[in-house]
Parts: sequence; structure tokens; C-alpha cells
Amino acid sequence: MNLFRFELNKYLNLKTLLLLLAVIIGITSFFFIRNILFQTAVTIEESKEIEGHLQSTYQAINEHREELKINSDDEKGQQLLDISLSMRDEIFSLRSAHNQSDWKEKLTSENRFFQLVEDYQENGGNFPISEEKLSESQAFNQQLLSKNIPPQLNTYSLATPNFIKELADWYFIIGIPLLMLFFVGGIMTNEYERHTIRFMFTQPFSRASLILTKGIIGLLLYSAIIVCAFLVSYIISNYFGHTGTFDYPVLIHQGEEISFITISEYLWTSFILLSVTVLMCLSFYLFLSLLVKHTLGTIILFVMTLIIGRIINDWIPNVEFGWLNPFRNLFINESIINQSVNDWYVGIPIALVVAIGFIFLSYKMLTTQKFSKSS
Amino acid sequence: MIIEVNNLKKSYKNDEVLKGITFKVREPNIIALVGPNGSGKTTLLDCMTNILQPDQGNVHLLGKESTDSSLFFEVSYFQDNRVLYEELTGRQHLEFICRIQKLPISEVDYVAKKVNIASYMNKKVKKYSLGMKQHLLLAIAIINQPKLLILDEPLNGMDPTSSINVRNLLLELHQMGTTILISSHNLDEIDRLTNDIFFMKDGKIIQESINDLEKEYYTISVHNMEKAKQVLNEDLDKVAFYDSYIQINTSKISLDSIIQKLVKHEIKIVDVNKKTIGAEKRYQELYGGV
Repeated sequence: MNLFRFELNKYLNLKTLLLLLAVIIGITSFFFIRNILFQTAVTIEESKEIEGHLQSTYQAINEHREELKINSDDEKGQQLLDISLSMRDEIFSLRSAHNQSDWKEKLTSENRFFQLVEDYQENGGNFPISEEKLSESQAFNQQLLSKNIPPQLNTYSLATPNFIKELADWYFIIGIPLLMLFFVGGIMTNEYERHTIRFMFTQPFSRASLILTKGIIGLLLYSAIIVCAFLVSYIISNYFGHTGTFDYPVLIHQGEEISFITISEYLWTSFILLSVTVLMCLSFYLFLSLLVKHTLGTIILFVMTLIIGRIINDWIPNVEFGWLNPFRNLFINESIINQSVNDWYVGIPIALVVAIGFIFLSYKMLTTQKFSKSS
Repeated sequence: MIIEVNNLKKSYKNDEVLKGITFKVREPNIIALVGPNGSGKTTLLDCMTNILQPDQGNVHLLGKESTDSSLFFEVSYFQDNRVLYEELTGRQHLEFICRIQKLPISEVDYVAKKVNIASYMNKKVKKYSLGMKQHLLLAIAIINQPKLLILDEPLNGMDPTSSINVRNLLLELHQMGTTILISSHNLDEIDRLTNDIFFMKDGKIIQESINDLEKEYYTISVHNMEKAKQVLNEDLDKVAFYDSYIQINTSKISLDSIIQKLVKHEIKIVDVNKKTIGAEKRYQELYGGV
């Protein structure tokens, strides 16, 4: 407990916490202002998409009419023309709903349009929307309608839960690893570089307790980052944006099926995966720092390993034994959204085993530590 | 047994710094560790305190293996001032040691007064001068009244007054039963402080007793040096003449007889000084001229 208090004094001082808070407020404000600025652009983009569909539909209608002029007995051509005419009419309804901001009518109309596109494609017609997008969009719209939840923008949302999710995706992939490296990066190597580790080695406590304490401090800083990030994004979006709902659906792939979880489930799942990944990365970082004993060298080696791990992860896509890959959870949102072969949690045991392994190795190294010549 | 070092060997790549060092300290004592830079003094102390892992050999301090961290309840190691945390205050360092050593926090103020750091111990270490850091390190080292105190160059950066205070403090600790192993380049201080010297040479230790080394001599300053030379002409093997003083080897002739001769011939004596050349003389013999 005494060692813990001393370590806490070193790393969790007021200056560090204020700096951390300032960085997080800066990042959150940047994202929120960006979302506000992009609102109009996104609405224009949506209108453009509808106009694009309309244009593609007109093109299809003209093509089918031309074909029927040549061969008026072409039943399939007539059928495709009928469907494309219905698509055109549906797009008009969609455009009208979009302009009137009637979200229910818009989603219903959009689903009717997507259904017509599906029929059109099934009858041999060619329309520039992928089968995957059609099925996902319809399922998602249906989910919103059944839950009576108005749609939010996928990105650039101003609703609190959607904004938090958007920010969490960024934090979980880049933000937290970077903040961790910045705030926790030197937790061990600094002691070697500054020779203060010699002070710690000549005190009446075991080196195991030193490692344990450093680990706990690292996890505390991680928790502080998570709590700060969540609170700041919640306060900013709630105050300047709108409430939204944490029941908002997130589309995931489970086996062959499209399925849904809520944003709150998504955030919890991400938090669990992130915590395990951070534990693994922290223990790996600790091991590297004892090996290299130099902050910059350790960071370079650490980042390189993660990049290589990520490349390996891409080589071993969603296969049955993918759970054996400890780098699987580096991109957390992929593990949650794409559960076609493996459930989101299958990578947790291997990450924990790797973490324990590195902690054990670090302890062994620390108990047989060697310094450079000093006299 | 207070210190027991057996066949300690340590190399850095191809450079063998410690070549099988063996020594024992049975009784509470003050021992100086002397040697030129790079002779392996700090390496030896680091190996003894398990900061460094020796290639071979073992160390027991106060009957415990040096790998046993609990020995630091009774052993303190004063190290290079870089071991201090710049972002923390002196008080924070001392309070940490108190808590770790299970001592009452009131000891912080007591030791701060004793080592004379009370006026600045609430400032961050990064604002300390070298001497202030040395004082803080000393406070950290003695706060638990260790049975064995190992000091690596404690007098670096200290002014003469501080050096005297530190010397007195160490002597006081020794009188209370603390064994002190001190590494220092300050041979004058060592002569004033210690009974025994361990010289480090070629990766080994040469143990010397200061009593065997001790060679007192006196210097006498006179007004008329030319006349003094004539008077003491028959004692040339026992005295040496310098510009402003005469050096007398008292192992060959008594001081009294020299003074009587000078007084008899009405040569005015300005000053008489007693000096020792124990550690320094032996150092010169071992390592060459300084």
C-alpha cells in the first residue's frame, strides 16, 4: 500500500490528470465541432444519393424501353421495366419523405425501394447497390421501425449515444493506445533511464510487488482515461447535441445471420475487449521495457510489433482457429461487428494467457536484472 | 558476521571488473573503499546490494543473502544522486522510506533537522543543488538507523562545513553500533574517519589497517630558514626543508629535540602542524604518483 501510494504520487499527480483531461476535452470537442460542421454536407450527400438512385433508375427505364422497342415480346424486359417504374415512383416517395423529415415514412419507403431493387436484381436487372448493402439496410431500417427509434447519421451524429459510439471507435483503435503510450509509456523505462530504479531496488520490498504496483498504476491510468473520455463526450454531446437512446441498434454479423445489439451493449463489449487487450499490451510493453530499458526504443519496438500483428491478423482472417491469434482484438469493433465465424469473446483467453506470460517473464527479468557499467 | 563476500566476480563484456573478491567484516567498524575511477568500487557495492547480479560468488549482509530484499530494513545504501525522483519533494522521499520501513512519520522531521535539510525538504528535488541532494540521500540512508550503512561517494558536492558535519554524523552512527562501508576519493576525510581501508586494485581488494600505515609527521615554519638549515644540518636524514617549512619525520627524531635546537639558536618558530599521510601515502604506493 505504501509503495502504491508512492507510485501514485509519481504518476497520478494533478498536472498529469489536468493534461489528460485537457487532451480528452480537446479531442472530444474537435470531433463534436466536426460533426456539427458536417451536418449540412451529410444531408446534401443523402439527397445526392437519392438523386443518384433516381438517375440509375431512369437509365434502367430507358434501357428497357429501348430493348422493348426492338423486341416487344420480351416478357422479362417488360417485367424489369415494370419494376424499374415502381422503383422510380418509390424514389419520389422517398425524396418527399426525406424533404419532409418524416423518418418513419422515409425508412418505410427506403425499404420498399430496396425490396424493389432486390426483385429487379433477382430478375436479372443490374442496379448499382450491392446485395449486402440491400439486406443490411433493410434489416437496419426494420429494426429502427420496430423499436420506434429515429435514425441517426452513421458518422457525424449529434445524438449522445451515437456520438459516444463514434468517438469510442476512434478511442478504442487509436486514441487509448496513444494516450496509454504517452501517459504510461515511461512507467518502467523512465526508472532505468533516470537510474531511479536503483533506489527502488534497495528498498525492503520484493521486485514482484514493484511490477504489480506498476501494473495497477497502468490500469488505473487506463481507467482514468476511459472514465474521462466517456464523461467528457457524454457532457459535451448531451449539452450541445441531443439525447438519443442507448438502445439504438448496431448491426452485427452472427454466423450467416444479420443481428443487432444496442449501443450500450456495444460499448460494454468494447470495454471488456479493450480492457483485456490493454492488459495484454501493458504486460508486453513492460516486458519490452525491461528488455530495451529505453523509452523511445521500447515504443518503436512495441508499435512495430502491433503493426506486424495487425498484418498477421489480416492474413489470418476469420478462420475457425482465429481465436488463437492474440492480435485478434487490436481492432475491437471488427471483433464485435463481424462474428460470422468466431464470437466476440473467443480471443479473450489467449490474450489473458499472453498477458500472464509476459508478466511472468518480466518478473523473471526483473529479479535477474543487469545494469550497464556505472563506476 | 556483518559482511561476508565470497569470490565475487563481475565482467562487462570482456572487461573483468571484479576478479574474485573475498572479504569479511565481523565487528562493527568503519571501512573505506578506495580506488581510482573505474576500479570497480560502485560495481562491488552494486553487487553487494543485489542491484547488479554477479557472474560468480555470493554476498551475505547481516547473515542474510543479498538477494533477500528484507535486509534493507537494516542495510542502507547511499547511491549516486540520480536515484532521486526529480518531480517529488525531499519530504515525499523520506515519508515513503518511513512507511516502507514501518517507522513513525515524525522521524522525517527528526532526521531532517539532524542532516540539516529541513529548510528545503518541501521543495521538489529538481530544485536542489548537488550538495542538497547529497544531504537528502544521507537523510534517506540514515533515517532507519541501519546496522550496515554503505555509502558511495557521499562527500561529492559538499562544502567543507557539510563534510565535517557528515563526518561527525557518521562517527556518531558508528558509536551507536552501525558498520559503515564508505567509498570515497577524499583521502583526508578517510584518514579522519576510518580504521580500515580496502584498496581496489586490478579487480581485487587489498586490505590495509590504517594503524600500520599511520605515519605522523610535523611541519615547523620558521623565520630564518637558512639559519635553521645550518642548525639542523646533522639531522638531514630525519628532516626535509621546503620553502616555508621544515618537515620532521617523528619516527626518527622527536619533535621536542628539534624545537629545543631551534630555540637554543634563537630561531623564531612561527607555526607547528601535525599531519598524517596514511591513506594518501599508501594510495600513491599502490597506484603511482598523484
